[in-house]
Amino acid sequence: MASSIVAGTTADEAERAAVELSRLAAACPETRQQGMPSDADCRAVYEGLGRRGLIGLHWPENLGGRGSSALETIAAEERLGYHWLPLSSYLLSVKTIGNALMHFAPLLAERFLPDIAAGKVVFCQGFSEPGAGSDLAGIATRAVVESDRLVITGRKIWTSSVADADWIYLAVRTDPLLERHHGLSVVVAEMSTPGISWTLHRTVGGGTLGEIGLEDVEVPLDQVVGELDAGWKVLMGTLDYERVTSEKVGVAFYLLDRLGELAPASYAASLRRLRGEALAARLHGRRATELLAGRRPAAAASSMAKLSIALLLQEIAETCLDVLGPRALIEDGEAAPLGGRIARFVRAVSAATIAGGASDIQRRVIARHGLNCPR
Amino acid sequence: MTDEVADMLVSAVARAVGNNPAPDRWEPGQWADDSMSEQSEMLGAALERIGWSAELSDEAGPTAVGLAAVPLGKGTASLRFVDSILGGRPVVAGLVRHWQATEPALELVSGGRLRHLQDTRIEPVAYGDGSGIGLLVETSGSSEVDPLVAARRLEAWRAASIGYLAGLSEVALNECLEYLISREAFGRPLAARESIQGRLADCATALEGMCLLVSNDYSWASLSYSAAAAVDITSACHQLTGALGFTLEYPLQRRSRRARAMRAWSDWAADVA
Repeated sequence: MASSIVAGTTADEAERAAVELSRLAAACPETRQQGMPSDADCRAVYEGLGRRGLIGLHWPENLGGRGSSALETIAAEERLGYHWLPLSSYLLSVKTIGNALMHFAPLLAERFLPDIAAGKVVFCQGFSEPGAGSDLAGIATRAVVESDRLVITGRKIWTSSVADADWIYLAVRTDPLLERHHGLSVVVAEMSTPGISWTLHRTVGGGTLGEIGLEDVEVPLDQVVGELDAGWKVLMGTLDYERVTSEKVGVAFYLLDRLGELAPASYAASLRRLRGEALAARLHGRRATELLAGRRPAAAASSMAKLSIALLLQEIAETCLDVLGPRALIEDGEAAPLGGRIARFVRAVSAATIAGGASDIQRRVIARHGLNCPR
Repeated sequence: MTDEVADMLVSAVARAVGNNPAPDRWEPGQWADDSMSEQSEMLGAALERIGWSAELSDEAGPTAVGLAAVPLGKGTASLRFVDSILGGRPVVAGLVRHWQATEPALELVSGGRLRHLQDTRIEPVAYGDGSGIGLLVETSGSSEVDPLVAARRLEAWRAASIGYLAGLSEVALNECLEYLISREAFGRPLAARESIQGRLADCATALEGMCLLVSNDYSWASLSYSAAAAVDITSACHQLTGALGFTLEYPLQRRSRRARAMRAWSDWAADVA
């Protein structure tokens, strides 16, 4: 790979694994039309990562990890993205939920992390609702305490990886009398729990997003992440982890490397500028990761990491069209640039500034937390 | 052609499009041709009755044709009806729209000329836009279209393309606005947020510019800008409608894919011409 990040044995190992696993990915029917690796799913690849010990590299050894540094993990993730591995399950289960469990719920981390690290358990995430998207404080899914359990009723939408998931990480309202940010809780529930049902919405990106019905779903209280009614802090912390999308940095470098081979010399300056932007985006991700690993405030830094790479991917998509013209949109066959990967990427890339937190939200976080702008 | 007759043409096309809504057959990774549906055939027949053709543009002039193409864009009708104004299917970068159709394949060549390709062999390719795209594999030869006729038809075709893009953008923006007015977040409608209003205002300005171009200027520059503006507007609508706009069931993705394809084709055609 032309542009590597942290030199190290784990990153090299990830590189070798990614090359091998990309063959498995190619055989996975669900990934064939998917334009964005981070939105694609393939259980076989996830299991393969687990078998090779590449899940949760920075988690402690007793929880299935290797005790590596968080920077080594994101270097490895970048390689996985560079080789276009389907990573949705990984990103949700490991990067977002696994890390959040370790941070906020040590007992649940002990229970779940070893199985996640082994590639045996996939999590999905139920945050958005038909009436609450970017405004998570508007969550209305109701959870009532009944003796030692919560009984949950409501509806979740835009859930990635729902078809592959064994468990769901849910944001619910446990106290309806408290205002907006208060009275929320985060719980984990097994997808097979009675009362959970789901349907799929197909996307232009070539994948699916789930819509989840929750009807009197009973969840033991020991599956609450953190404290009851104090879910806002957990939610925001979870999002900080989710926003460092190093695999997308790998996607950017892959496309820039290929464009460098395909583009005429007149594009050299634009491609150089985009490469510089990718280097900056990578460093944003590293900085946010270091802050998170040190348990320091990371909201602005992680939003910058997310915003910078999302905008860059969209610029790269437009550059692909400029360079390759009408043929950029051929999706299959010999005439398709990079076997159709570019055409698929171009139609999937609008989600980069939406999924996992819209750019407007990232800008708001940066302005308020980074610049101390008045509310 | 008098303004009155031009107005009649616009309403006749609008009625035809309104009566025959075009279904979306495109799916990720699949070849699709949106002119191959019963509704599209009925729209074609209705347009034929109006006299919608390259000859009409010779007579009516580019302004009337451009304005009449706006409802085609609003309905995301098949681009086959924009290409009718050219008198055939444009061949750009070795690609042809509606590969199974029998209209002449017209290759754009430098100097703003057109070459009618003979005995073409075209193979379908899966494409990001459901315009029945085919790859030109071979042709036995070509004959040049009279340069004066070619220049006139290309001008009318650019006008029709700009009109189509304006119509497509207008509907995308209106649907998005409707959503933003009805959707509440952070205690008020999304459309009440200043950052969102700023984005909408940019889109409205770009759209108004396209509408002005439709009645005034049909240069390659105007077409290139209009296609880029349509991409910008539909991209902004994606950002503003979030995951909903990303689903196949919501109509935005169809408009944004078409805008992007038209941008690639227009830019490439303009470079050649």
